[in-house]
Amino acid sequence: MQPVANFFYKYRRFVKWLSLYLALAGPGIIVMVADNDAGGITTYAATGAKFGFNLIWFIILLGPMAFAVQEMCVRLGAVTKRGHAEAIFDAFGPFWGWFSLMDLGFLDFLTLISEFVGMTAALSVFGVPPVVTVIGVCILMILIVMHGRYWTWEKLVLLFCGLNLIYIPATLLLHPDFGAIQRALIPSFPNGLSPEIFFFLMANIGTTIAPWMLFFHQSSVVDKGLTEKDIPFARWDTLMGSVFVVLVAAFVMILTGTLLYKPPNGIEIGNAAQAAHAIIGSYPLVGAALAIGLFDAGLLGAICISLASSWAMGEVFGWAHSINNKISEAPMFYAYYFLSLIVAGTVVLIPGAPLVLITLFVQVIAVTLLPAALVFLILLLNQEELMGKYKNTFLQNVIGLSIVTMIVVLSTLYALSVLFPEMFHL
Amino acid sequence: MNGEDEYRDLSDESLLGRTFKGWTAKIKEINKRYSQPRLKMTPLVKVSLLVLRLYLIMLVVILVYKFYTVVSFR
Repeated sequence: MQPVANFFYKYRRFVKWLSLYLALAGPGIIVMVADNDAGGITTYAATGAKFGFNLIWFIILLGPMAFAVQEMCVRLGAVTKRGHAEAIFDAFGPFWGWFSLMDLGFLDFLTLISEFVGMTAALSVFGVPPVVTVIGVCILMILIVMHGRYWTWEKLVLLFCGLNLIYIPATLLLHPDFGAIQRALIPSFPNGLSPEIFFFLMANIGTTIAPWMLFFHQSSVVDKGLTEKDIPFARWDTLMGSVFVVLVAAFVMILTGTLLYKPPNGIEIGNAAQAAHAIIGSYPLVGAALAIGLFDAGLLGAICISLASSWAMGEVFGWAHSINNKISEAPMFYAYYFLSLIVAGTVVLIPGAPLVLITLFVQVIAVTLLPAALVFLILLLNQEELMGKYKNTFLQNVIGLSIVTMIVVLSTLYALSVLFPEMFHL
Repeated sequence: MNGEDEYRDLSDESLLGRTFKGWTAKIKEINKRYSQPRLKMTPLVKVSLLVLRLYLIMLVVILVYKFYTVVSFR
């Protein structure tokens, strides 16, 4: 009887831990899955079509990197109970505060446009006109926040996160060559480290760590009311999120790598919707899944990006800024959220709007904010007065600084390659 | 004050003007609230912020150069 009793005792402890984890989980998974936004899915699909399975190992390396950065946001939010924008104002003064806030607002608005571009392109695969997509998405996103409860919002968004996993069964339907995938896990560069492959590596890094993620994650930790004692659970949440982000990215690469990659040089695709169009004729289910996944990715990105800005504005301007507030209790917070959505959606519908230019510009503007936000994060995490026993350890600083340096250098090179492709022989 | 005066009074300071004044006051208040950075300005922090400023200036120069080349090639 004793072993059985022991088993149940252990099991009960696990169930208790699991129920607590499930209650506290959310921000980490949401931010990480939303990181695979429309731009991200397009980048992974293009990488798979161009290089097959050869760069899967690189995507797997990006998971721990994203985890290390986001874990710092969790600690900062849980300890200071402040969002990233407010923390920057408070610690570095108005100059850096306004710089970060304005840059974030502008960048998020442009990124929101690119999410709408992705969503309209995805549903165009099923013949849905862009105007219907834009109106439908705006109504859906307004309904999601109208309950005035963070819990309801979070669970609804987690459902959309679950839909992001659609790439896994879609890829498995194709019976990919698992032997080749296994071999691709060993780091190597097909045909050497060419400028082209370097561009794709930079693009994948650029899409894995985005500035809005830092702001969103910290603000959502605060809005959810997580405290110091919840940090271990929030870490698990972030870890689960980083596993999801890598899984989805790898499966998108395997999908396009299986169907579109032609050795030795692969093929170039402009966006994931283009890949869905190419696939849907011969593999209707897989093509449809790719389009649905792209729409879901754009929707998740739009939800998180518009909220990241609204939270940041609310923190700095002193507006009520919680999803737990009803619209009448936080009118400015919701007005900013609705307005940014509606304006971004309208831009996509303007005939002849420079949407490709906007999508490229997002990557350039991102490097004006990302290094600053990351440097501020490291500096804040080293303040004993602020963080107490949760400040960065020496090892965390070494890891954090290495990652930040690498991200800053590679994302800057990526922005330069977008601005001056001839410089990189692209 | 009769109804006509009230109407004139409201139109003198238009809604736009009042909104602008309100925002300016709010921004001034925020600047005042955060005028003293709480972060301890150690040499490491100062050097980090200086490097960040130089990096951003470099980016602005590159963007202006790109804009100039795009405009002049048109």
